[in-house]
Formats: sequence, structure tokens, C-alpha cells
Amino acid sequence: MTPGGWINLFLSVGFVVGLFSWCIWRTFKSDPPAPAPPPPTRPDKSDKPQR
Amino acid sequence: MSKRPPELWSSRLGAILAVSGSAVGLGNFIRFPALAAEYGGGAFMIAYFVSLLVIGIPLSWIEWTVGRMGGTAGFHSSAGILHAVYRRPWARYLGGLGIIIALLIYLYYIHIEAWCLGYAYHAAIGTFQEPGLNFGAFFTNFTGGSANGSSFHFSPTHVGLFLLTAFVLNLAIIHRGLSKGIEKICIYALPMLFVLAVIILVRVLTLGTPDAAKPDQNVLNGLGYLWNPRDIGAGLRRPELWLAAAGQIFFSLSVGMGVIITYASYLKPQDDVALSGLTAVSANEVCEVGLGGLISVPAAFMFLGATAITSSTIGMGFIVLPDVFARMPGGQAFAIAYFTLLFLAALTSSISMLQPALALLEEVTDMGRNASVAILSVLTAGGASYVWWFSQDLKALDTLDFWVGTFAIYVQASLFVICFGWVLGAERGLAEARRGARMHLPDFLAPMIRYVCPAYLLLIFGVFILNDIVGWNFSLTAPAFTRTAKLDDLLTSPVAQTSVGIILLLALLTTALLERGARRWDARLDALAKPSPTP
Repeated sequence: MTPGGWINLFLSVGFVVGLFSWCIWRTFKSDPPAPAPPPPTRPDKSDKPQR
Repeated sequence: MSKRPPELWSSRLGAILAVSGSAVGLGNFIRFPALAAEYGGGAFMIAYFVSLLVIGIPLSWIEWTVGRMGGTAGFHSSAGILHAVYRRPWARYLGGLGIIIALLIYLYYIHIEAWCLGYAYHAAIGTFQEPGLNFGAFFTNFTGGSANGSSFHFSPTHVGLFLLTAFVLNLAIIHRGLSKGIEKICIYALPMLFVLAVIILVRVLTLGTPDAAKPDQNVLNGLGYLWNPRDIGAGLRRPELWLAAAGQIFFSLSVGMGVIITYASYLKPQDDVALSGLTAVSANEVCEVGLGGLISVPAAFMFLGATAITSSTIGMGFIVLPDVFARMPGGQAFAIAYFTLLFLAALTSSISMLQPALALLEEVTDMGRNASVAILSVLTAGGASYVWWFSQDLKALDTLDFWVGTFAIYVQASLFVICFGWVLGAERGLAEARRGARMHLPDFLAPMIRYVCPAYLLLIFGVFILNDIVGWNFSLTAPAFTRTAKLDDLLTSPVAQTSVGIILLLALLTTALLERGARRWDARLDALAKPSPTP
């Protein structure tokens, strides 16, 4: 294996492994959080029919 | 249209793994390293990565984007999707070509898948450890290469039993549907495949010098045989090298087959296509460059020497490598792992080839899943049996592989890129790709898709025609043209001619289905265009 071979090997394998790692990291990182349940609403007195 | 609720991927990861599974196949582990070694590691890798960046990644994004656009309108067959996206009469035929390509490739790919299964079985029962076994003769007997019909048996020494098993397995998976069948298989098969490949890789890289009598055949020289750059300048001036590198990118990523479009049509309208597409591409590249590039050629070099290494996928995978495993310490276990890995890679690819045709059948008829799968099984059983019977010199397989798996894919992909860039509009397409995107898609992609990708593809297609069909020696000073083997077969071999006849017959059948589908698709598009009545 010549120095050129090592450079070729590390550049090629490094590029694809780096790209894949970045993609996986972004895929899991950017998953949006599950939508939170709506907060319990307080009864708005102003909406109550006036007696 | 079917009245069943629309199918969708159950998760984004499932969609990514399904597309990756479609892309990862035998080419990753056998064809890529053999080509890299043949053309000289350095020059080939430059041409390979240029092709990946110029056509591989953009084409993948285009197919994901168009697929999601069609799926949003309720279309899942590539013909229906292109009909809906381009609204031109010819668009459905372009989409139909993708369906035919995938189905015809399935007819011979299922055989290669069955070989992998059969070889895993024979590795497990110790056939390859038998002293004095002639691996070439074993392969010829197993596949029926000596005479037509000679492998038409259901004994373990022939491919039939394994072909039937693979055939039933494929149909059973697609019958279970998208999320319960294809997605579930890919979620388990892809990680398993990856783990098996890593185990074999560790074994190969720790072999040192397997035969003390041949000190030159060691692991470093094995790696060097593939990765040493040699004469980069001279290599890059060879048109065949660019053809091999671009072809490998092209076929490895499953672009131009209608598969990615179909799979992407099952995404939700706001699902990301940019990051998902790139993730699927990069997963394929890790298997190809990171794993495939370090296993088969170095292993073959260490045990058999440079003369045994061939650029033929079949020769390398089914004749050279079983011999290598037979000589390797603990080779039986690694042979089982290797052929299981190849079988899983082939299985996740072959199921993806059936889905476009299944989607078309379901879309243009009122038949349910059961009837559609039944029709597809009869159709594919007939085609696969034809390839099985005409096994002498693998002529039927080879003809279909050349005219469909190579020629037609170039045509389809070139037309597809041109339509996306010029009919839909590269800017509009890019805006569509950016919807829901979880990564930035740069502006230069638009001119690249409009000008660079079609030019590169047409150039490569031109080189392919000149090299593989016209037989030009690429010399301007002393040009010579020889009748190529493929052209010769087409003119003289009845099996090759019948194979082309089968391609045309399937094209006619698909055209009839497309005509029927067009009326339904138009009605659906009209209904979508009508404003909904306000209460």
C-alpha cells in the first residue's frame, strides 16, 4: 500500500462515513418533538352568558 | 381508484431504510470493488465521486421530490405520478417506462437473489469446504449455465428450490403492504446486513499474511491493489473509466427505475425529502465504499492473487469468493455470513422492484391487494421461468440486464432529468424540494439540474452507445469499429431476440394499462381541481 493508496482510502471512506454520520445526526436531531397536549383552559368568565 | 385508506410509511426512518434497502445490493459489495481495482483506485474514485455529486445526489433528490408531489395528489405508480405532475400526455409513458424497467429487472434479479440464498445454504452444509471442489463447475451446474433447462429442478444442487423460496418470500412481503411488509423487513434487514458486513470486514483486515509461502499476498498489498492511485492522469483520459464510474453510481443508487418515485409517493405532504434523500444515498455509499471496498477484492487478492480478480459481478461473487472463503480460517462461518448478507441486500432491492407495478395495478383497476398480487405473481412467474429455462451461458439474464438494466435506465434517467429541469422547471422543482426540508438546498442546484446533470448524463449515455453498441475504439487518429457482443447477440441469438420480444410485449401490456389509467387519473385530477363547495 503506497502513501497515495492510504490517502485515497482515507479520503474516500472518510468522506462517505462522514456524510452518513452527519445525515444520521441531522435526521435524529431534527425530529420535531411530539406535539404537547393543549393546556387545560380556564373557563373564561367573559364568555359566560350574562344573566 | 382504490377505496382503501391510503398507505403511508409509519416513520421517516422507515422510508429512508426502505430506499436505502432498494439501493444497497450486490453491486455494492462485489461490482464496485472489482471496477475500482480494474480501473486503478485513484482515477476511478475521482470519476466515481464526481458522478456521485453531479448525477447521483441530484437525481435522487429529483425522484424523491417528484414522488412526494404525486403522492400528495393521491398517486403512487410512477406513471400516475408523472401524469399528475407534468399534465402532459407523454408523461404517463415516461412513468410507465420506469415500471417496466423495475419489473423486467426483477425477472432476472430474483435469480441472483436465489443464487445468494442457495450459496448461503451450501456454505452452511459445508459444500464449499469439500476438497477439490471446482467452483466454476459448481456454479455452472447450479445455475444451468451448460444447457437450457438443465437447472429446471427442485433439488438443492440446482437453483430451483431457492428460486421458489425467494419468489414466495418477495410476494409475501409486498402482499403485507408498505409499512407491515416492506418497511418492517428493511428495518430489520438493513442493520443486520450492516453488522454482518462489519464482522466480515474485521475478519478480512485481521488476516495478515494468510499463506507464509506467499508473503506478497498480504492484507496491505490486498488493500493497495484496490486503492493505490496508479496513473491518475492517464486513467481520467479513458472514456470507459468514466462510463464505469458513472454507471456504478447510477445503478447502485436505484435511480431511473421508478422505485424511489414510488416509495417517495407514500410520504406525507410535509415530510422532508432533502435530508431523507441524502441519508439514503450516504447509507448506500457507506455500504459500497466503506464496506464493499474493503472486503471482497483484498480478500480475493490475499488468497488467490491478482489474477483471480475479475470485474464480472457474477464471477467475483459466485466463483472467486466461495473459493476464498474455503481457504480462509473459519471460512465456513464467514461464507454463511457473506451470502446471507448478499441475500438480504438482494431481497430489500427486489421487493422495491415489485412495488411500482403493484401500485399501477391497484391504481388503474378496482382490484384489491390480493388480486393485484395474484396477477403480478402470474406475470413474474412466467417471466422468471423464462429466464430460468434459458439458462445456457445465462443468455436470457444477460440480455435483459443489458437492454433493460443498463440501456433503458440511461434513457429513463436522462429523460427524467430533462423533464424535471425544463418541463416542471428547475426553480419550481427546487422550491418543491425545499418544502419541509430539514437541510438547506443551495441555489446552484437549479442551474445544475437544468444544464449540468442532463449534459453529463447525455455524455455518459453517448459514451455507452459508442463503447457497448457501436464498438468504437475511442481513437480519433485510427478509428475502428467492431461488432460488439451485445449487438451480435441481438442479430444472431434466438434467445436474445426472444428476450427483447418479451420486453416489447410487457411494454404493450403496460401501455394498455396506462390508457385505462389515464381516464381515471384525469377524472381524479379534475375532481382535485374543482373548488370544494362552501357550506
